[in-house]
Amino acid sequence: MIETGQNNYIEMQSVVKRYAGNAVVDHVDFFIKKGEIHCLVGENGAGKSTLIKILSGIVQPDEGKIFIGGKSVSISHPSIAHRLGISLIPQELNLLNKLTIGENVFLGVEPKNSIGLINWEEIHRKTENQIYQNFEVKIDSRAMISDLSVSYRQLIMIARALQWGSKALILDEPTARLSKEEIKRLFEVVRNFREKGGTVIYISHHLEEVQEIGDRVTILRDGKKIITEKITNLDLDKIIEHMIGKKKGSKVSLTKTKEHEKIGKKKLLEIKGLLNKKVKNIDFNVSEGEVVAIAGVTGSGRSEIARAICGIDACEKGEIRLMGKKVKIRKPADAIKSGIIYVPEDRKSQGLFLKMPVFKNILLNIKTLENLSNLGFYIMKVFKSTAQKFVELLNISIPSLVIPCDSLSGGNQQKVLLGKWLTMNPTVIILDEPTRGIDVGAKFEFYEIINKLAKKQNKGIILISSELPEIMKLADKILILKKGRIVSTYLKKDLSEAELLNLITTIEVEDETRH
Amino acid sequence: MKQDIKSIFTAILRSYYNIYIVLFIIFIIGLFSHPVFGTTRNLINIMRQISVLLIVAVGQNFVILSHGIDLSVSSIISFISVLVVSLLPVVGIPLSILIGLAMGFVIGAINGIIVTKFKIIPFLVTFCALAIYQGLALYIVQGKMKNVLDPNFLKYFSSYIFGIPIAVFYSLVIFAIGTLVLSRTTFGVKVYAVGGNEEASRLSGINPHLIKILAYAISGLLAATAAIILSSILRIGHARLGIGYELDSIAAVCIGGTLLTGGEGSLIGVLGGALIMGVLKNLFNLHGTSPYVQQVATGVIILVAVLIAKKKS
Repeated sequence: MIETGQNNYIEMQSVVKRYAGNAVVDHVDFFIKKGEIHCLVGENGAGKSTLIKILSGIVQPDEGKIFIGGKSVSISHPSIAHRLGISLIPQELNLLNKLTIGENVFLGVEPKNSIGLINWEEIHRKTENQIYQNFEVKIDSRAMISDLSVSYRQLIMIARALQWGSKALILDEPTARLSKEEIKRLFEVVRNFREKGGTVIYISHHLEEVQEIGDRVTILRDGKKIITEKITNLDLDKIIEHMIGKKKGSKVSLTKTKEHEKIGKKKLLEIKGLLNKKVKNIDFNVSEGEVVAIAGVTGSGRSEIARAICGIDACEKGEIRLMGKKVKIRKPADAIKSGIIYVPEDRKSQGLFLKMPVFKNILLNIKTLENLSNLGFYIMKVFKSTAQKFVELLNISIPSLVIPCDSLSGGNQQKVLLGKWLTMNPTVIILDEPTRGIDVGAKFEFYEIINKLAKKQNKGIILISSELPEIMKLADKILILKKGRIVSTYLKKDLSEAELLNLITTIEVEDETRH
Repeated sequence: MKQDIKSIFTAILRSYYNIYIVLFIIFIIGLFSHPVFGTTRNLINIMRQISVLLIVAVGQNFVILSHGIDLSVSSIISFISVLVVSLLPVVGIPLSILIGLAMGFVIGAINGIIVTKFKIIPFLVTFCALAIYQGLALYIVQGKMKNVLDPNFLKYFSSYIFGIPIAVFYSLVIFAIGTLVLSRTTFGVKVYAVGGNEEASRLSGINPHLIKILAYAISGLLAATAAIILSSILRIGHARLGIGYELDSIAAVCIGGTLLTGGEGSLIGVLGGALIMGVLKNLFNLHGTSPYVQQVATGVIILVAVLIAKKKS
């Protein structure tokens, strides 16, 4: 039996959540004491975010019980979590940008004056007082949210949670977009909240932060709880060991031809001094048949490098050479025409045309459309047979070529998205989180496809991934990214997964560009 | 080939049979509710009315597919009508038609440029254009109407071939070209892509601004075409000639199943939508329904069509 300690403020008992039959949270017990800062860590896909979504009422568990203050509760909606005193401070802060600080803090709980109108004086006075008392920061409550920095917005989110009477805060990757100074201030705010009896659940990839701020830590791996322990009882290596576990060999053995070692040294892509608001002086090369992985935590600028290379975001400086020739890339079409393609991470918003039939999706990039048409006209048969070829090649299971994409499973959608780019036979392929949100079987298929593209077809591949096992399995070279800079480069064979995790979560860089 | 036609036909039936069933029911009701409805004369009259609406609706469909809306078609019709009819005696038929069509195209393109380059919502841009070109039309003729005197102009656009108004043939040709463009050209694919997911279309190398500008330009061009035919049918250039066509064309497109959110819909549906609108209007007129009530009905019909479309998706 599970022991119900009296000092546990929040108890999640044997919670299970399944998606398409797979348990992403698997009988997890998660106990939080009153007045502690409890860190929650685990690799991507370990089940952290699902667990906190359950606790904050965004997602409903399939099994398990939740107790708050000793009482059994059912959190069927975020508003119920608020009523129970639990507030999620998400990565994407959901404040109303066009309103003032005071209006946001008192949203939904506005004080009224004697004739029932909102008492603005009181709102602004109370907001300023509350924020000063809690955080020792002086602000002008009449300032617009849109004029504030990310760190101040975070503070306002917390102030709002306090105004709503929250006794427990869930901070999801709160430091991802903060500078060192701002992180320091956030830590003070969090500690202050604890001193006043508040409870904090703190989720972070940055293990050093976890060690600095946390009282206890719960480590998840593959949807299961591995351990809950006092932070002081665990050192960094121990935490990493618990996060990664003992890795079994992969189900598929990937083909590594030795010939590749000999031929594949021709440089395909050379990036020199790429610079914009998000990425700083990016230098690296991709050779024929090489898989270059970009590893870094959330907010380190992984996707932004790809977006800069492909002309999606504007660049201030930098040179891109393709097979030795300098190419000018100002818009996505330039990159596509020269043979550099970006397979975006969010297939639904950036990649696919969900209402359009599969075969049109597979052909939908300007180069393929141009290749398959004559003076802008195309022959339906040619379209369908070309699409069919790639459907078979990528083993996409669909009943018909004309069904719309939104009726496909995640894995098949991801294959359509990749197929859409393979139809134009690109030279360099940038894959951004290629296996996000797809099931395990499809994942291994993807690994095989990626490996084939590199080793058999000699494509240059840039792999952006937050899943370290994926990087370890596929990459030849690994770039470590931090705050928009490549801080170091390693050959895969020189690194273990634990070392890689250590590298991306702990390296500190000089912060001279920050104010 | 035979199979191809068969599969196309079944596909049409499957996705659009609702519209055509509704059309059939309305038609039957018409036959039984009014003796004049089924007469050849009346049916020819309906066909002529629908053909003008269909031309405008084909253009409107391009704009709505690209996730926009064009409220200015009615004022473009009025403006081009007075422009072309005023130019007729001065520069002759070919040139005045050419100028009229070119003006329609340019007005549409300007709408598109303002929508894309200045990122103003299409509703507002075309709403302003609606006022601007309506005002210009009134200004040109100082509120009066101009009669069409050139017999050739009437011959080209409002005569009959085998007893069928020539406008019907024009509209069918435009409908066929529109269908071809949407279903067999890369431009058509791009229109659906931009309307369905603008960011993804940009990442695919498409220039979404250009596609949208062209969609508005097509709408302007087809509104101008409708203006020329309508002026010929009614034998006048009139600054209020186009009034109502914005609502009717949007209604035809919506009833036809094109989503206002863009990226989904087809001209076969729009044809059905235009037919329903035309037959209904004719019935209202035959029964002497007040034009005010007709407007109410049009509004309700659009709402119902949108509700049905929403339920389907």
